Amino acid sequence: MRLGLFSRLAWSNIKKSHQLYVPHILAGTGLTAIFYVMLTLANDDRLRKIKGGYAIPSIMAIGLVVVAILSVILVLFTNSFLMKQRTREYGMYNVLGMEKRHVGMIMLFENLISTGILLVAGILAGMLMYKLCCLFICKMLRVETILGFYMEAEYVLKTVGAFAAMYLVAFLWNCIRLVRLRPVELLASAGAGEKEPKTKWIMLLIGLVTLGAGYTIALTTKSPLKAIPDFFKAVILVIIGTYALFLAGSIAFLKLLRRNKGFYYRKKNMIAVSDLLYRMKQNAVGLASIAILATGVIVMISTTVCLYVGTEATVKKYFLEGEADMFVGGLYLWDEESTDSEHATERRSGYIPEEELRKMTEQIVGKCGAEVESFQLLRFFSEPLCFTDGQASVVKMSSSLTTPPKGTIEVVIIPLEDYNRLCKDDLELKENEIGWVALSEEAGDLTKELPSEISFGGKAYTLGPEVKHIPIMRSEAISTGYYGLVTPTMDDIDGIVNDLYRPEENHGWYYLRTNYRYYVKLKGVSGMATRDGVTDGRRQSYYEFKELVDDYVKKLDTPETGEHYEASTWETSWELRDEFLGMYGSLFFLGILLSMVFLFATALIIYYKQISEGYDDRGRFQILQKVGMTQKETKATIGRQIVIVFFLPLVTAVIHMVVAYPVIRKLLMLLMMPNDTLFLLCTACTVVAFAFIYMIIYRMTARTYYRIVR
Amino acid sequence: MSILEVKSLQKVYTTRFGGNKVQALSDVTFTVEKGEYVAIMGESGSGKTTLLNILAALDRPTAGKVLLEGRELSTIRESDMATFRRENLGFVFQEFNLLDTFSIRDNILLPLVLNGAKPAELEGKLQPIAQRLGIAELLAKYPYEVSGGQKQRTAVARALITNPKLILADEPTGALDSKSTDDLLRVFRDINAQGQTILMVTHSTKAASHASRVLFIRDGEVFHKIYRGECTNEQLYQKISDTLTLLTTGGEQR
Repeated sequence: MRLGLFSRLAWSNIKKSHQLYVPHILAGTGLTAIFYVMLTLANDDRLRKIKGGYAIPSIMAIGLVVVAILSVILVLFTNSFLMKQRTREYGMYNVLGMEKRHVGMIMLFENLISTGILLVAGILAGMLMYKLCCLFICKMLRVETILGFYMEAEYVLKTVGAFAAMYLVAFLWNCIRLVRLRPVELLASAGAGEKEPKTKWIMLLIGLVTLGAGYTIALTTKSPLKAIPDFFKAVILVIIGTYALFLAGSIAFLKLLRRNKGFYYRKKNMIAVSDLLYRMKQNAVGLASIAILATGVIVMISTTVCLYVGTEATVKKYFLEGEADMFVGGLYLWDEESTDSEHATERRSGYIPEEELRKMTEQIVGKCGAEVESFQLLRFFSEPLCFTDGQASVVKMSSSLTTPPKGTIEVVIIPLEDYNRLCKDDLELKENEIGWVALSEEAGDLTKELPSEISFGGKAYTLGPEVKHIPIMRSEAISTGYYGLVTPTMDDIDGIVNDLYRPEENHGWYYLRTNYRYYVKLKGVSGMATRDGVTDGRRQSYYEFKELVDDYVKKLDTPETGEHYEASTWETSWELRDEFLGMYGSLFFLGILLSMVFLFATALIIYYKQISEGYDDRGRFQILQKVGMTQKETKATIGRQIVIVFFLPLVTAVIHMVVAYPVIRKLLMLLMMPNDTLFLLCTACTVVAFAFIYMIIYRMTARTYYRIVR
Repeated sequence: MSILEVKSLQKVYTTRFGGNKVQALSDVTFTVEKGEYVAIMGESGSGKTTLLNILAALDRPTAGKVLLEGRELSTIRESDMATFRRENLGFVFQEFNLLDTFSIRDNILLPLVLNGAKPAELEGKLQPIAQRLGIAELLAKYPYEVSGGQKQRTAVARALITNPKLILADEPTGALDSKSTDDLLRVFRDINAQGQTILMVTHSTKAASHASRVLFIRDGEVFHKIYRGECTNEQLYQKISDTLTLLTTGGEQR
């Protein structure tokens, strides 16, 4: 009987305060759905089995942590707002003679009803969304659609359990507030004015320093490898800086404006400045959060879209700009017993003769039902070197994370023959001349970096002409300049290697440093264009190919002469593409899911801000009219403030993105994203799209605001 | 010369869909001379608020005219109305209507700023008024930091700062304690003595007893008026309360 009364009261309360409850329930539904989707994605074995799908579960597992944390924050945030708005009502119940435990019962029922609705709706939406996500992922990874409905009771229960626990905590929090509630104070304090915000100088200073430091880090990071730790340092500093500046900086700035009498005492400025002062006091945290969420969305979407869309271009870079479909590569081995430096060429073994390799590749490719069209050989030596007065020496680095000594550059040296063939050039070099080209951004004019005469320990060379390009894909991991050098002959490279690695200095595995690659183009299969690689739909995995290659190479070994061959790399464009699509596709997908959560958060903050401001502004609106402003003027003044408050986070986000752009670009280089224009385009599109969505959210919430104010 | 002329003012409110008509003012005629201090009294529902709204140009009469210094209010265009009100009328309200976000200084200066006064002129106009009203010390404070009486004096200062032709006060003592009421009435008398025309709508006999003339409104008409003549405040107070008694008890048999 009693319970029936409570539940009816609770239900009618929810209906009455639908302005507060609808967004509360919608947000809860969305969060539950996304949580459920990510939890299931992280555990769905069917995804692991699809090509390129291997990365999805682990990436989703990381995303799940982020979503869980954000969910806790958002649930508590919506709850505290709801409670703040309704405290008066609860106080009124108390005044009208209900005991606090009765009010508590009503609250309990309100919570049960709203949480029940959002959990059921969330799980249903989650299931539907999961289906859509699977379709989307399959489309994105370009594989056949997984059919069938996937649902595990375990994940439903886990999701429901997690969210029920969050709302329980929120409810207990409300109960504590209820116990502390003094209704008389509540009724009395309603009309009291709010204190003028104080300028927090220390916080302002902290904000300036942290934001400045974050920006400086972001702008000055040179090396892509250092960009990872730097980026996270900068992110944390900028987050702190944004909050501090929104809280303290805005108020300090507005007060400064107010102190300037010539500016302040003008029709347009006076009301705007002092109203904004109060708006910022109430909303600084919310606005700073929006700015950060917005930055997060823009960064996530622009980078992941860029990587995903750029997959094809990245794959091409690995295969002579699409001129080849695969390559097989290896190292020249050296006869370690021979110390005779004068017979460098003799010390080389393991060099599979071109004929032999052609035979091998043709056989293997033939087994897969395809034919070889052409081979191209590329021999290269690649190493970081330190030049002192034109004298090169080997840089020993225990790991790629170690900072190399000053003056270090990384070089890749190829013979003229290979250069002319691959780059379709007809360069000529004198006997002791070396051609050069800068291959990375940090690399400048080599003739200015080095004296005109250089040596690698033996023969002296002069720096010759600048060449076109060297088609070798390299991760931008090393913080020094990266140059390509072209020697007149292959023997020069052997000589250089010999001079650099004198056996008595014990260079260990550095000994094996000259690489070769045979780039293979397949006949009739434009391997780059078709997703299915080799004909008859049979695609060979990296491992299958490697096994075949290893078998073949082993047969070439001749133990009696001590000759040993090794082909260590076998890379096909389709395999690499699958790998990239899987990786970047999953990241892109994660970006979308997280952005949805971020947008939920943004929408909620804006919506609640509009409601709470609406009630404040209504009073102000009326007074201004009584004092002699027209309705039109008043509306314009308040409208202008709303727009400033609305655009502030967006502008902040865009500034953050602009500053972060260089460092993010460097991060993307680590992930082999070589295309600048694409990233710029993706960023610009993301910013525009985000601004558009933000505008829609704003428009929708502004309607509620104007309904309150009027 | 009369500053305000009200000629057979009528106001009829029509409920939505044109159903019932409510006559708020049936026929109100009076004039206010320059430098006069007029109080309008009447019970709730007598039409006081409607009258004040029409005088303040917030509402338009159904029939009749209001002339301020010979200029008819209804001829002023809607777009000029706010400016007209700001330049010619000063308002004092029962609930002060000060902006929480403004300091006392800024609240007082607001109408001047809205009128487009030069920032350099502001202080010169503010200081004498703040001195006169005894709030010079409070200028940097905020409305929530000062008492009700001080708030109302701030509101008066705000009304005075544009040198309006007429001050309209709507129950100015309604939210004040007796000491603050006395203070405010003294302020009103002082500014009236310096030539400021005041029209005050009030319930309070005490407030009305400070005026130079009291009009009584009932059922939408001016029912009675009392001139101060040579009376002291106390004598006028007695007259007013006699009239009120008459109004509520034997009025019908006039």
